[in-house]
Amino acid sequence: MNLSNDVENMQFVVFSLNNQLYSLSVKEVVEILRVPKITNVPGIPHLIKGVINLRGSIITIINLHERFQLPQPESDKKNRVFIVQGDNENIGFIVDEVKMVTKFDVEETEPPFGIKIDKDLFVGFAKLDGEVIGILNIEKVLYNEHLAG
Amino acid sequence: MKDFDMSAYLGVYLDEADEQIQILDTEILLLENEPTNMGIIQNIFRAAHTLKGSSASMGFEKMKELTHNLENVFDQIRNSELTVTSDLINVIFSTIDQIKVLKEAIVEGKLDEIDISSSIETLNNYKNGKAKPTEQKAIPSKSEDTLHVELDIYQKNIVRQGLTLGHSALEVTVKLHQEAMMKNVRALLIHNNLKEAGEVVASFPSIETLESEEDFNGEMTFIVLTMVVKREVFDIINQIPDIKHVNINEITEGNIDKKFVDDEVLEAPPTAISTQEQSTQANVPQKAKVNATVRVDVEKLEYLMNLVGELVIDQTRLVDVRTRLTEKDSRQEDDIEILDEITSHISRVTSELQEGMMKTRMLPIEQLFNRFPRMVRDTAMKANKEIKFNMHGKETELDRTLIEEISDPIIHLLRNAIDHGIETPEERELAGKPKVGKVELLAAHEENHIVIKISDDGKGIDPEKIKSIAIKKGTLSEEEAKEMTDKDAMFLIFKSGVSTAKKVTDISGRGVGMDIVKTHIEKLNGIIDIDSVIGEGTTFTIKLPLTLAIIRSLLVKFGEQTFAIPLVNVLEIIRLNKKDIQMIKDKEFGLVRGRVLPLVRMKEKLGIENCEEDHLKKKEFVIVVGMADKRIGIIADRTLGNQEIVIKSLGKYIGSPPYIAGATIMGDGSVALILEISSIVRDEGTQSQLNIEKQQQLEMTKDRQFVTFKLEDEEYGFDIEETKDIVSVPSMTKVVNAPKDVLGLINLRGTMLPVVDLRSRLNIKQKEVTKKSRIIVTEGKQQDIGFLVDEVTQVLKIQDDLIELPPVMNEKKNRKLIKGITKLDDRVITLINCNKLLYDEDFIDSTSTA
Repeated sequence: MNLSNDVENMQFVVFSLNNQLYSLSVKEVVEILRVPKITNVPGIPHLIKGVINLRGSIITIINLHERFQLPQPESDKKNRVFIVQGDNENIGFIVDEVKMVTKFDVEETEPPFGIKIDKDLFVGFAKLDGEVIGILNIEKVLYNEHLAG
Repeated sequence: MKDFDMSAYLGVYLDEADEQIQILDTEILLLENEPTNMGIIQNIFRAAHTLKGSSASMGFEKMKELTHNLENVFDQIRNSELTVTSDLINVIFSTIDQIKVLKEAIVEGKLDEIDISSSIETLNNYKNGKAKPTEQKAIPSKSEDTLHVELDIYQKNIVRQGLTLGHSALEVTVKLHQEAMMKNVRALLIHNNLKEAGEVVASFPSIETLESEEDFNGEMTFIVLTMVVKREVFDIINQIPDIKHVNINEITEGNIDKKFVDDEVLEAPPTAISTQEQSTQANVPQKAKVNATVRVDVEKLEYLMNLVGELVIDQTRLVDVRTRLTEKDSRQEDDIEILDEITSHISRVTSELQEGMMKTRMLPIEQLFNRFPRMVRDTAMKANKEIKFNMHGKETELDRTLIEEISDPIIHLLRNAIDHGIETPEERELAGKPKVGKVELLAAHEENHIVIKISDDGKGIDPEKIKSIAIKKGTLSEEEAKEMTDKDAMFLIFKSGVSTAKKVTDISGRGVGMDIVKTHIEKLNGIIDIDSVIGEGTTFTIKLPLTLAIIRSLLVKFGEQTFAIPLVNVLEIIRLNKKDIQMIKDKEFGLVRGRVLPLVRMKEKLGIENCEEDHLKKKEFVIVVGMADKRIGIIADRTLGNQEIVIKSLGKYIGSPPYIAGATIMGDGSVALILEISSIVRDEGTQSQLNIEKQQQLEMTKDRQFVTFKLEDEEYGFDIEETKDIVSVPSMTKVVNAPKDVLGLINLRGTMLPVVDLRSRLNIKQKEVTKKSRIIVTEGKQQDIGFLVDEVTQVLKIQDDLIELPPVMNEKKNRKLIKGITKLDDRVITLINCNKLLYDEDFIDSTSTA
């Protein structure tokens, strides 16, 4: 993935998890909705929170906090579900808060620092108003750990 | 004609091929019995012809050739040039098998790897007279024709390949009348016809030119690779009107490379031709992508369309009501009424739509059944059995996915019936049975299920034999075998490794098949049952849900969560007293009507937390589910009733969590999970030997049940085995000169029943009949007799060892009357021997002295 090319023409949705900022390109986000009732499915990996009904289809919701090894937050009115395109199916995850949709300045983005975990999860980092925003590699986020476990 | 993308039509082609192959199979079976029936021969000819035509249009040359040869054979039969012999029938069957192989090869894109030359040769051997096959072998002819067109290397290669494969290569030059209309259309028709006869390697001018050029002069040359002789090619071309002249030259190894005489024929640029050729070559797909197609009755579609139309109307009405509701001065009551009407209409239409939609997925089982006669015939021949095979209920419709899935189990059961079930003709005669065995296949609708029965009149299943085999194989211990009922023993055949066949044949007998049958049926949420009488035959009954996509299910609550259990699997719902649940080792068992039922605490299994009140409950909801031959009880917190649900997959990401078959969406939009009964049952199946033994012990110390009732202040009980009915007191007809205990006769559902006052019988002072008074009807040896009691209290379960013998101090005659006494909490219940009440000589004494 060519980072600068991507950043140049793309808008990004910025959201927060545990007060840290992350982002995904709008291209990757199918839709964003309020948190509906999530049905637990017994016997599934703890990475998966459960399933929801989205206009008649069953969609898996993964637990991104668990994935990033962040503490589980209290549920809040600002919580939203991101639906993203997975491998032949849509997959959702809950974020603490959607911050904004924005463009990043190419000059202000950097490739991953080279730490292994970062490399796996992030395409790069952008700086915006003095804050560092991680640009997620959604495929890796969804499937790396999943396949390993 | 341009070779456009044929893959879109592949599904349709395969469907049609299936259909025609099916017809061939059935008709040829019929032909075997009636070798001279012209109608049947015509049908076969037509089927072969249709198949040939469609294969040719799809460009499946091999298929086309084979069917073409088959068609030829039947053409000769039709013209009485060939007689039908059983030998020929076998050859035809093997040809049809080859056709099936080809069909599969088309699906897998491996058409190139199949060699059909031997099949064609055998077929050709049956063709008499004209010795076409030898003529088709391209032996370089002595007088070589001069060719008019020049082939490029690519085309030459194809021609050479064709020649080595035994095709003849022809150069066909056709000239149309000068005044003919639409010359290019005619040219295309000729091209198409030639394509049916063989492969058109090249055409001059090119097809593209033929198609587009207005000023086409009516002369064209085709290079054709074909199995057909020249004469026939002439005929084929002459079907088209306005042909002035046809000239056919044979291309051979000898003249292919010669410097061609350049004629007046227009020569198209060879590059264009070769690209076109390549596209036909590419048409032989690597791996054909087949989209499953369904043929749906137009009427059904119309019906669905109408329903959709009604939904659209409802939708506009809804919009209408919505606007009116937003208006300030709207009359809300009216609008709500309309809304009411619309919602009920929508729900009606949707349910009809759902049903209609389901019906489009339904196919008559005929499709599947028609495959069987052939298979039965072959199997019977292999096994040296004589069999009459009957099928009923071909028109029964079921979901197309089910049809595919159920095929294997049925085939297996049929093979079993033929191989193990039906005896050899000699054995049958010895047993005094007709020589020809009967195998029957039946399909029918039964409520919400499809029932498929496979029965034979063979030797039946011997439970003892199965038990001994199972013991030998180590799947059963001797003690277990003793305790086992015959029925349970029969179900052992579903266990892997248990086969009753004395020797393994290639038809069956390895003892793995039945295992597969069962798992297959379980996968489809079905149930299989066996009925067998030794010496008379065996019947397998398969019960399947109508469809896999939508099922009726029982909704239950485990804690806060709702789960659905497919209703096919639910046998009954009972409430078990906590005290009827016993622990054996670490497992719970319930006693239901004297039988031990393994219980599953689904909440624990699924890891759902228990509620506080759980321990306070006196009774548990137990849902008895069955899968094939096994029964288990699932403990649920609450049942919510049954509902039709649409099965949805949980998606790949989650995979398949244990005990969960899928998910569905409830009316309120929440997601409910569907339990996978088969895996839960399978889990329970692996209990230890110890458990089974203890289970049996439990079953031995059987409870006895008593109907308890009150007389004055005392409680008494009748054994439930002896009582038939409890009725309230109707009007009673006095009987003249009757013994004083007999109150009179009542009319109980048409029979006269004498009623005895139990008070006076037991020497308790008489009392008026009250609202609570009941008559307990007991079964007597000669006649049923009713006893009038003050009040029926309950049906009581008492373990045998809790019943004490009556005290001795009692009077002699009463002692006989009293079976025993039991203490229950602070109640003392006297258990009365009903029979003694009726037939005790004292009773007779008392009545006579009265």
